Amino acid sequence: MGTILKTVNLVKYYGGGENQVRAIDHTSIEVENGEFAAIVGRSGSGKSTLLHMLGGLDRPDDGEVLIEGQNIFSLKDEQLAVFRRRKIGFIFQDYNLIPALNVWENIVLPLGLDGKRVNQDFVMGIVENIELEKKLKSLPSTLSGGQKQRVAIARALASRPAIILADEPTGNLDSRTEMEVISILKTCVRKYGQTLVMITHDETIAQMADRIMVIEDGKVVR
Amino acid sequence: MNVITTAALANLKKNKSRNILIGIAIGLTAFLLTLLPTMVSGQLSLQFQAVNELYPPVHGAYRNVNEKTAARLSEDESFETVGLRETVGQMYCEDREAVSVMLAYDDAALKMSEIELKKGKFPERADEIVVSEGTLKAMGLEGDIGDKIKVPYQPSRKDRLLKAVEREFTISGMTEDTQESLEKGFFSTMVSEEFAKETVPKGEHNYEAYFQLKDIDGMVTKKIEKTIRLIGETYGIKEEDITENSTYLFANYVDVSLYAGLGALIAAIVLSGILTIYSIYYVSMLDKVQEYGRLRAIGATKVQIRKLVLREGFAVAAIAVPIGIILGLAGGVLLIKVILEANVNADRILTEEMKVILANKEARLVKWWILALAAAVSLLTVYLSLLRPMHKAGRITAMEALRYQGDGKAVKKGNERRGYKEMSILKLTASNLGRNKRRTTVTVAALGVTGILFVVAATLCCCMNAEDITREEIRKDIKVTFDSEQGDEMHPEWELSAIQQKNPMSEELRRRIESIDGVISVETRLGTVADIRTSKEKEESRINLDGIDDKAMKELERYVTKGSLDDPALKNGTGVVCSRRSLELEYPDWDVGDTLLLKVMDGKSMRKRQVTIAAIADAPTSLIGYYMIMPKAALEDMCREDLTSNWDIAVEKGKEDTAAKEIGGLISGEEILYMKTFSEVNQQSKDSINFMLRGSYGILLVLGLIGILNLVNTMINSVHVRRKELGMLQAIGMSGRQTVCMLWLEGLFYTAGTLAVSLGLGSTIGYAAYLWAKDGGIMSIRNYHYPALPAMLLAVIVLAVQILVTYFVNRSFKKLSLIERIRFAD
Repeated sequence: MGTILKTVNLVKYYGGGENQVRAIDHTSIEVENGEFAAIVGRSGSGKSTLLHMLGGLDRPDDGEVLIEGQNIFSLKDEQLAVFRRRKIGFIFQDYNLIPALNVWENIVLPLGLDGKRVNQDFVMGIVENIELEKKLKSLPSTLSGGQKQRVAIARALASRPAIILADEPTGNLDSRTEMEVISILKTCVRKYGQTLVMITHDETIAQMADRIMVIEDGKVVR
Repeated sequence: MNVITTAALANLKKNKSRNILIGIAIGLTAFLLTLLPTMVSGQLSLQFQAVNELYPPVHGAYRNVNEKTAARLSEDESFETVGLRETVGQMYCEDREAVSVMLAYDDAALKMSEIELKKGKFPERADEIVVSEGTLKAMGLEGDIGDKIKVPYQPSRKDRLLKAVEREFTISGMTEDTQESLEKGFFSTMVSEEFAKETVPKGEHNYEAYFQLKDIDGMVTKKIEKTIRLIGETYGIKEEDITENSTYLFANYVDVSLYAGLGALIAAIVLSGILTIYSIYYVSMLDKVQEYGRLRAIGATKVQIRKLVLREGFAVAAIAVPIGIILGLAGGVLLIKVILEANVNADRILTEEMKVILANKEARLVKWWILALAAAVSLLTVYLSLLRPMHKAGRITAMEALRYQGDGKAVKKGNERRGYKEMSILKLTASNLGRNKRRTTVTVAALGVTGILFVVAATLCCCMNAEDITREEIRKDIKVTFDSEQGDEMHPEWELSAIQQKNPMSEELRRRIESIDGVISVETRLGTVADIRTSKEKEESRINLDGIDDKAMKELERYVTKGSLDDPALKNGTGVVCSRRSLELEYPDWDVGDTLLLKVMDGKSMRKRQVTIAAIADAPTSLIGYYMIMPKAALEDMCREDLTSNWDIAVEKGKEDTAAKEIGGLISGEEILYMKTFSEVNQQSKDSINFMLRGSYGILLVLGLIGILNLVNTMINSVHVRRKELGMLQAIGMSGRQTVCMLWLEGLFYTAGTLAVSLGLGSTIGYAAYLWAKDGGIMSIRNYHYPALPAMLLAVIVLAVQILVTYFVNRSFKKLSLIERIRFAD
């Protein structure tokens, strides 16, 4: 298996003096290749900040994030952008699809940004898994929340990243759709042999993960 | 202050950058709406006042009026006053350097002419005369009030001057010399009506009748001019003998075309103002949907939302309009002064008088009605621009706003898009632009309209070409020609027929000019006159007939509008080519194929020749002449005398001045020969169009500014609205370089769209405007010149602005961390 993601003494503070918020406070975690890890914590616990740093969206004040052994913050912005699109897939709570593009275009967009040709069979396979074959030409504005999140999942998978980071992927969904989306997500990462790190405040959802990490006041406590 | 106003004012601060942009657009509109009318009306006030100081209050004049007609005119009820003036003679002077005409006025004419004497009184007795110091000096005389002077003079009759006689006059009064008369050596002296009666036999008097019309208050100038012509015609006065005092009429009566022009300009400013302000609102409205929706959710009514938008807009206007008006006023007054100081007006005396009026603060340059109008029109512009945004904002429902994701309008048809199989930055850009086609179209149209106005105005500016005006008069670099005079009994050698018999423009002189260093060629042009009788007119009229060589004939080819220069009649010497302009003005019935019977002057004889109109050409006068031309060889064959009338001299670049000096030396011995150089005439042409050009370029600059503002706003807003989306794209792997590339491509689309609309439609409409100006003889426009430089400038500026805006937008965008961008949901 081997470690695919590792943080070393990660620190991120906001503000200063009395108002200083220790969003991430000397946190070190490790995620194994192919693992489905959930990071659970209450609102304001620092879980989103941690995920953002894992994905290179935000820079830490101190410490390192290593993905496949590479310290991502040693990269320059442009290199980091390229690294991100090749190695990391994101799934956001509010889907963040591009309104002007249809379902298919949204899914293959990261490949396009990387200048890669689309492996039609592979992407169609994902589309079949998320059961959106009939909606390929639809615009995001016409989809339900669950459908939008499934598109976001497909987009994260399409470029075959080393790791998928999901930020409260079911936060905007009702409980039935929630389970459905998580099942699809879990099935897909298994099928394509990918690593998934998901943050959630919902213990039930977290139960579906291989491993649960609990974060409180910027520190992983369990 | 009620809650809506409070919210509007709070919004004012919140949307600071957008409101600054809108403020600049509104301010600029108010600035232009004040500047142009202030400048035009101030300039006109000064001019009108100066005209009323300088010009006699005369509405028009009829020339060549005989005694009988003069008597009938005096009794005509249409006139308030009719005054008569007669040229009784001309003081005789050995050389032709100075001329002094002797004029006799009746009481009414004297009163209307508003002549003031420096000292003394007007002449009453036959031997009394009023002179100026300039006249005395020019004629080699001396004297003052009460002194007797012996004056040699040539009595004048219609179209001729008799042999000189001498008479003793007593100086009864002295007049002031004008700067112009001193420079040109053209003076006038006043003699009495008694003298006129003694000198001119009964039945041979030839008057100029000056008049003021009755009951024309409030009439427009065009109507007055028409009335003057109609009355003239009923008295059998020829068209060329009727003149209106246009300057005076223009200053005292309503000129429709002036107000129409000013109105069109104001309409253009209002239109670009509306488009700019509207498009700023349109673009930023997308960003504010949620805000208005939330207000709807907490209970604001549609009307309240509309009021909110309106009040926010008017709050900006309340600051921007006064600033714009104050700057516009200051700019307008400053421009009036600058224009006056630059002496761009061709009429120097008028300009000087205007300067005096300005210095004495006799004219009111600040007009409250202009300021009030500018304020009202600016606010109306703001209101009109706000109508749609108000309506849109009012229509937003709470649910719509909460669901709103910045998708633009939901696609009504199909909810699908065909899309691309693979994605790239280019395709992503195309999808973005296609997302809200209407917005994209509105933006390109708004930018394009300003661009079109720019290109149209630039076309007219470029067509207002000094060189074209100069080429009307002078074909090559230097022109040598002669001055002939008709009917001067003291100088029969100045008659054209006499000149033809002993032409100073000899072959020998031509060769000497040709051998001057730098002279490339000396082209000879023949010129004579011909009498022609048309079926309509009882009397024969005299026209000019020129002969041009093969080279000039070839040059003429491109100006032919009807017929052909290959017509056999031209080859065998019986064909002529007529000038389109003179045909239109004087002989509108003539057409290609018509035959005319000409009596061509050839020295002493008049040769009859039947000619056919082979072609009609719309060429510069320096080529086609005033009426018609025929091949030089044909005219030479027809006549025996030397009809050389013109040398068109081409000179090597850089040697014009030395060549002109030498030519000047060669022709100085011949009294009647004179020359004109291209550079000298071109300078005069430039001076005459400078005024118009400066104004037009000023307008161009402002139009350009409005357009640029619009472009900047569009691009800033398009990024501002999509901050989150761009951040998200970067999160899934779009690099900074790719972001810049996408923004740049989007900008490039707007740039290309704007340029295509501006240059495509602008050039077409510009060409139509040129045709209109050419047809109406506006601003001496003759030839079409594509505004290549302004068009290139437009392209470069738009491109540069776009690159700069992309750069700055991206830089400010980078200031936010990626995560801040993604989080930017509200």
